[in-house]
Amino acid sequence: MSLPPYILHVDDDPDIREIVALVLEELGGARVRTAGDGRSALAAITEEPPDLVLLDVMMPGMDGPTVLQHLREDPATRSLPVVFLTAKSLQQDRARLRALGAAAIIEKPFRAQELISRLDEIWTGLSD
Amino acid sequence: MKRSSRIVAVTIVILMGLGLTAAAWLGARSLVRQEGALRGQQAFQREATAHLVMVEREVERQLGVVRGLQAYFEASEEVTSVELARFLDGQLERGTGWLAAGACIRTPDGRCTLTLQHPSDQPFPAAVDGVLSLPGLSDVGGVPVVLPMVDPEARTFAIGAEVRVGDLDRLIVVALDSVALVESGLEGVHRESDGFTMAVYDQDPVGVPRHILTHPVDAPTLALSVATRGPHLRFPLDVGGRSWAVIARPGGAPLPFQGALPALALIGGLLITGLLAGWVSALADQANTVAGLVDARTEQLVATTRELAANEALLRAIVETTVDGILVFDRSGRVQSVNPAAATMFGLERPDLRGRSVFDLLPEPYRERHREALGDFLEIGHDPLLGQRREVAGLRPDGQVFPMDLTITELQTTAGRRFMAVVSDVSQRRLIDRLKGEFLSTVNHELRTPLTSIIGALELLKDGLAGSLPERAQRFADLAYDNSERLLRIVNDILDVERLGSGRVELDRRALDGAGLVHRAVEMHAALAQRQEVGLVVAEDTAPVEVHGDADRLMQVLANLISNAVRFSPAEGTVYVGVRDEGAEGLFWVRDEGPGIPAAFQERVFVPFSQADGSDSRHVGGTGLGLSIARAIVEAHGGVIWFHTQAGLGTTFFFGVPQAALAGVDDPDEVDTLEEEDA
Repeated sequence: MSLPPYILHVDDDPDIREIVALVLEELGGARVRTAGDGRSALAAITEEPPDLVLLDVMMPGMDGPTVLQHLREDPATRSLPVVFLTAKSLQQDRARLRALGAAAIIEKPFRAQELISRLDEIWTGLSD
Repeated sequence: MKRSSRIVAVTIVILMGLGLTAAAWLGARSLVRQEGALRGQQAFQREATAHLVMVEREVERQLGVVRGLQAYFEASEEVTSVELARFLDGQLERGTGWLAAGACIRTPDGRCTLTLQHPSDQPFPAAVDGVLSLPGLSDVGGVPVVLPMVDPEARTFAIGAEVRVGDLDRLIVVALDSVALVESGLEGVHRESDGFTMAVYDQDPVGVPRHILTHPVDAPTLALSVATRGPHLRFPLDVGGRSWAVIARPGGAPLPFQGALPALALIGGLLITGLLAGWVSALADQANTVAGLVDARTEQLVATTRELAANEALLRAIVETTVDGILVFDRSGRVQSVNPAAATMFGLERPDLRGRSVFDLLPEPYRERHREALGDFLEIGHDPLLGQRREVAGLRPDGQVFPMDLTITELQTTAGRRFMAVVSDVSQRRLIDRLKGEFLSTVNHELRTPLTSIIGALELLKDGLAGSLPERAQRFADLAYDNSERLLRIVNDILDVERLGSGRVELDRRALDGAGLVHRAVEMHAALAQRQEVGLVVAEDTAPVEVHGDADRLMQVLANLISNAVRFSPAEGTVYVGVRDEGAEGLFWVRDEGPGIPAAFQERVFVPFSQADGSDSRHVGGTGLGLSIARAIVEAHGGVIWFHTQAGLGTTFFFGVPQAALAGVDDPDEVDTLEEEDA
């Protein structure tokens, strides 16, 4: 099992931030930084580029897809893997997110083990 | 025409016919009568003339006889009857054709002895006191010479006699037939004659007859009367000291009515009148019948027209007031008529809409597609779009496009082939759908976000991430976690039901290995089955079949059916899952050995949130949505789902999915219509 060593988790819900951080750190052994909205996420990325971004879709202010667009426009972050964690599960939404360049879409709610195994899959795929 | 007028017509015809018949009859009778009279006159005249000739000859002869007698008498003092007979014989030998001739010899007592001789050898009866009656005299046409007047007993005499007696010795009366000499006062008893000819001669001493005109008609040689009617000739005659009347009854009655003309006129007239009356009556009848028919038909027509008008008004009202737009167009797509709703929908006045091309009301790509479809239809007679309600878009003249439901049907009208488009503006519906979708999306998000924390936290708790829990705490944590998972399923299912129900689910259809799906479904539920101590196996008769479907969605159906089957199976029961090739489709089934579905519940099996038994369902933990979702998914695939159940023996659910080969799946552009709309 190998998870990205440093993950930025962006979600406007503090409870989810706490649980995700707990799961990834406690069960996955990754280092997790959290952000509560799009702008602070971009600031955090600039400040310390993570290995992977776990991004919520619906957030007040700047939402997930907008953050991803910004990242793709910046050459420094163009190839930064972004995984969406979303409570929206409509297929057209998924298609849109994939088109924006999301590495994966994980539906909320998720099981801890599922989250870890998916991130493991992605990170292993990227490392190869 | 009414009955009364018919009677009037027939009556008029009969009256006219009778009048004309009567006139014809009278005319004919008058003609015949005149003709008869004329003929009678002519006949009588001929006869009379003949008689006169005879009379004259006879007179001549008799005068000769008389002269002979005179000479004979002068030569002898006494004439015996023998001598007379001899003389007469001699006379008769010289002439023929006369029945008799007679002479009267005055006796002292004034009597006259008459001797008659028949031209044949038959002697006449002897003179009886100078009175001779000859039966059948007229039959033989003879002219007897009679001297009857001195018989005091005689009352009547048939005349046809030559009278020469006393102071009448100078007279010769020659009469024919029915001239009667009747003693005065006894005229009434005489026999009627049919006509007479009478001549009275005055004989001068030398025997040269002179005419004595006793007849009213003064004629030089002959008093000739032609009788027509009634006592015609009557004049007194004193003979032998007695007074007589010569009565000549005319040939009495005119000649009998002769000639068939009056009868013919009568019969013909009556016949024609009858026929005419019958004909007129029949005509009237016919006219009545025709009039009756016409009346009935007219009434019928009026009623039908009224009914049609009412229907037409109703139909018009419906068309005029319906909220759906209706456009009728011809083969070229030219709009023929529109209702107000259609005009409003396209933002035009009705007259402006008429005559336009119906294709101008559609934006691309619908315009070209429909133009082609109409062309194809007119050419090959088939259009898959015809009669189908479809969601397209409408185009207003100002360029505004709006979502529109469209159904086109074909009309056969008296004016030829027409098409009718029924359109409705579904902007509102679309808006509502969108709002509903947004609402659901929000609800979904708002429910999932806390659920994420709850499930995550409970999972960490029960998995001991927060340190190992006391036994009871562990049980509560497990319980809370299980129920949060259940809550999540319900949220998911509700969302599915709504999306499937509104047709907003996209199916990612591909060619799928049906048997593979079955195997995976069985594997995925092995753990569940094990926990329930239920066997879960792939049915032996499972066969490879390639279906056209959305793998995730079909798996969802199988999952719902399998979890139901497992939950309702008794311990040690077995659930069988299979698929086989059923021709047009792959037929999947899931069979359990449970108690069967109660009869009362069977009808509601696929109804959302319905469950067989409240307490039982809680025990086995369903959401009550699984089967309605399963049905929605199967139907979205164009398939059917059903079940077969037997109390105490188990239930089998079946569902069919179209086979890939028949759906033409290889075309990657082949997409479900639902997807197309969302694109």
